[in-house]
Amino acid sequence: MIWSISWKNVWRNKIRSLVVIVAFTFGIFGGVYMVAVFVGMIESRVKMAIGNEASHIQVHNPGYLDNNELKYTIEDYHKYVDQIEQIPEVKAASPRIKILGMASTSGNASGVMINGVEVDRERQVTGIAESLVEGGGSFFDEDGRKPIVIGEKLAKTLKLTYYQITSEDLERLAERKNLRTVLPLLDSLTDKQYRSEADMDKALISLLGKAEADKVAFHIKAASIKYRLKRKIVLSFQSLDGHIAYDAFRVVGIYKTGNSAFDGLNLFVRMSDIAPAASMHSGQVNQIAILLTSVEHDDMVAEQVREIMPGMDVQTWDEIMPEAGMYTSAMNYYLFIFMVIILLALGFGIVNTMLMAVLERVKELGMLMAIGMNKKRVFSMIMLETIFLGLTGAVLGMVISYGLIWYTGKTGLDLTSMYQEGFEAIGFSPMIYPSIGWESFFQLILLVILTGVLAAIYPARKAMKLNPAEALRIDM
Amino acid sequence: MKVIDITNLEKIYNESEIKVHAIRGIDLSFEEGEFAAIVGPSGSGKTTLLNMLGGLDNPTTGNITIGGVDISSLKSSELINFRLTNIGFVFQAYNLIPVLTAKENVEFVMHLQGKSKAERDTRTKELLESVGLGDRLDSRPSKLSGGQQQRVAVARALASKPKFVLADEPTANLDTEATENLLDIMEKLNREENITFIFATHDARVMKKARRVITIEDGKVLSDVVK
Repeated sequence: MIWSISWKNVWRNKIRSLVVIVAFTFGIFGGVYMVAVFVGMIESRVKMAIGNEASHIQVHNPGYLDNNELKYTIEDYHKYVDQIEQIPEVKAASPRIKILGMASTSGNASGVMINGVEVDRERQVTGIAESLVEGGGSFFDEDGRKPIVIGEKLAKTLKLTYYQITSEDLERLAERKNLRTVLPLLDSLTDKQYRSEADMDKALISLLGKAEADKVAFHIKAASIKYRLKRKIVLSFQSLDGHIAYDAFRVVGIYKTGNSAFDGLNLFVRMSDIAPAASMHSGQVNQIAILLTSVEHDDMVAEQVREIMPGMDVQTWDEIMPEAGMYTSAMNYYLFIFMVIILLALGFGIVNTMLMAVLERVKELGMLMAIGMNKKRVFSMIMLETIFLGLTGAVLGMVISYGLIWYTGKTGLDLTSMYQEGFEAIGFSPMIYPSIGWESFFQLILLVILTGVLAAIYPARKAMKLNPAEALRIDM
Repeated sequence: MKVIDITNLEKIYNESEIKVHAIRGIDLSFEEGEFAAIVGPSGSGKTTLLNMLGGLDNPTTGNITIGGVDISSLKSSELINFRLTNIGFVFQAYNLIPVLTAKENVEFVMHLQGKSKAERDTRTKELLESVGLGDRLDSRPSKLSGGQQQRVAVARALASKPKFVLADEPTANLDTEATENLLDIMEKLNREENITFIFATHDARVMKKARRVITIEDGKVLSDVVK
């Protein structure tokens, strides 16, 4: 009976209750969805980092981790890789020679991490082979002499890119609605070469004006960037015997992972090309990267690898990139803090509404107490009313959040046109798939109920403390 | 049989240092089945007396004994339960619960008493029929006229089978026809169910109907006339 009266009381002042419910709905939706976007960003960052950078497990000589020196090697890697690939949960393993060195072209030089890989194994472990840019060649498909695959960011640094708007580029750009107005103007730039991004920017600004250029430059540059494949890159590094080695490679592929810091640093060559120059004999590598069938087997497989390779340092992805694991747990704290703040604000809104509801019903409450409704029941009635009010909004907010998270989690939120450069600079993909775990969802439900209960106490106590004789005398 | 026994009752309100002597020594008693009106000008103390009779207010001195229980000795939580089982209330402004139907309003008190659904159903129907609202069980108060609402309030007051019913100016908001009708119903219930009714009123129509009229002025009983 009290439950039903409380529920009916919520709807006595429909507009006022709806205002609170809508506030709750949007508050919860805002908080939950924002967190889901962040969680989605982090999950995709972690996925990307595992896929392109860290893999699930890495094995090193323990010394290598301290100072990345070539001399800390794994010997006879073939034996180990074969054994590791026997583990059913292992998808593939890729042995790598890792050398810190310098890459130079006629245009510029840059510090790099040289990855000497077995092409077929590397293909199975990382997504680099699938991340080649359009017009950026291939991942060692051609059998040339000493091929090299570098990141787009490094290509830009080494002046291996230029900008040229071709008629095909214009056709592709014509598919974008927001560019239709500027396309005719671009004709005057067609087939002119611009050696750097800055030159291209200048040309666009002088043609379109600063404001317009700011809006469209990103898309035009993305469409018109060209790569100078087959150009020579000289790698210099200290070889295993202590000499400085030089070796020339030809660019066959340009990749782009979405983490521009990684792309600016890492280049790939064939192990068979780099090993002699580094004075490493066959069977010596610095790292074995292992990809699993699923991330949840990481600790179990790591344990088996430790048995196969005693004395070697075996790390799982969250040890390799502690920041990735930290992001995830930090997000849970943020979720908590966001929601506490939002719910605090909403809680006060509820207190206010319910106080009004109690004060305008003093006479009725006095009557209820006079005819024999005890304080406990009056208290519970107001408590329930408050909780119903909050829960209705919360349930609506959760349903809307969950629906939208589910939907955009499938289709993805595309922020490419707005923030691609910014996101990639910090290693995040501009395509976000919002996601939230059940655990967080249940935590939230508990938090909302707690808010409802806490917000209910004050108005309910106020109602309970009424003196029926006085309350009945009030004229309303 | 005595239902209520009041001895040497006094009530002093201490509002901001100025003492208000609302009741100045009243001795009264009510027998089972009485139909009595307490009358007097406003400020005479009749509402104060009624509140103390209903256990809503404590006397400063003196005792009120209801069915053998001295209610001035009860704690406030005990008083609430005492009111629930022993006293029915009818208020000037009807004071029904607006979100409940006529039937639910009457049932509510029995709910608080923990009566079974079957018992609640029978008694609610019986009561609403006896106040002439057998066909309005499912109407909310806002769909009922003032007279009808007050009849629901009477049915509610009787639902808990109280020892007596206190009615504070029950007819003040009603027109003559509704008043006559309400008084007839209450008198009928008074006779049929032998329930004591005590009114606080200055409505001449109520005084005419009452079989005992107690006049109060300045917190004292001026006259006590049994017709």
